[in-house]
Amino acid sequence: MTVTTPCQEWSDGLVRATDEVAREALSITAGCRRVGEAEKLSLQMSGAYLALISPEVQMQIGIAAGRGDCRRLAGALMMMEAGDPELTDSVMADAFGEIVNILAGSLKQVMDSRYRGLTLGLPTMIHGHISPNDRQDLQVTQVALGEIEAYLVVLMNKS
Amino acid sequence: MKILIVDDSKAMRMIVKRTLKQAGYGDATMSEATNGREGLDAVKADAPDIVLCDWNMPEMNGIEFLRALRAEGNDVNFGFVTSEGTTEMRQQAQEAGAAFLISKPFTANDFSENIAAAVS
Repeated sequence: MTVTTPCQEWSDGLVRATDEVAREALSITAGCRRVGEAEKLSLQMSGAYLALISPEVQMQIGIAAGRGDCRRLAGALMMMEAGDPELTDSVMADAFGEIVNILAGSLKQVMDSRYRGLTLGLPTMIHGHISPNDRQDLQVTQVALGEIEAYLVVLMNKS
Repeated sequence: MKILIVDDSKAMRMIVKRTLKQAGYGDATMSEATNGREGLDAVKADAPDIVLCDWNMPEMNGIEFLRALRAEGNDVNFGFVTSEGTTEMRQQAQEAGAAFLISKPFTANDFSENIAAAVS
């Protein structure tokens, strides 16, 4: 029998939330498709992370991608059109932070029936991989948002 | 019309402005602030017709900003544009005097309907 850990449960919820956000906020009609699990992120990845905290759970969720795909996701959120000036690094980081912010809001709704009172932190952009300690579980899920390759990250304290 | 956009994210302020244009407010005068504290100053300086404000911001968040405005007797039209829109948040927003709460992701239609109702 397969046992689903809390980290996997949140990761599944994050994939569902990302599918909704991809379609509605990023205008990616294909939504979000799970490709598989990854052991960890590569050092070339950049990601936006945000804390979700309640009396029961403490975690960070994130979305990471290579530089080109980060720009494509940020551009999708910003409704960039052909001929628009390229996003500066700071606006790109800001937009990527907004994506994880919207993801967290959506995830909160997805998980609301079981976890109430979740508080959202402020997003942070981080380059490279995440190293869990002995008291943390890490789940990295590779997903495809249309033609964009991204990784969804859940890092949570073991209960 | 004068619209004040309060959000700590520059990207989000750009998105809100673009959505406002899509919603038919391209001729509006839009000003910006990055948190509630700056928003308070901007409301006093610019007397906007409506404030569109994020909830989760450093220094002074959106609900604190709205309560500070009302405590000063300022009844400017005020709407939230936030990442989450829980029942509790909507209730708090309404009790504090917000006209609406639009949660992301949003559409130009969400903007036009809510703003038109608020300023009418």
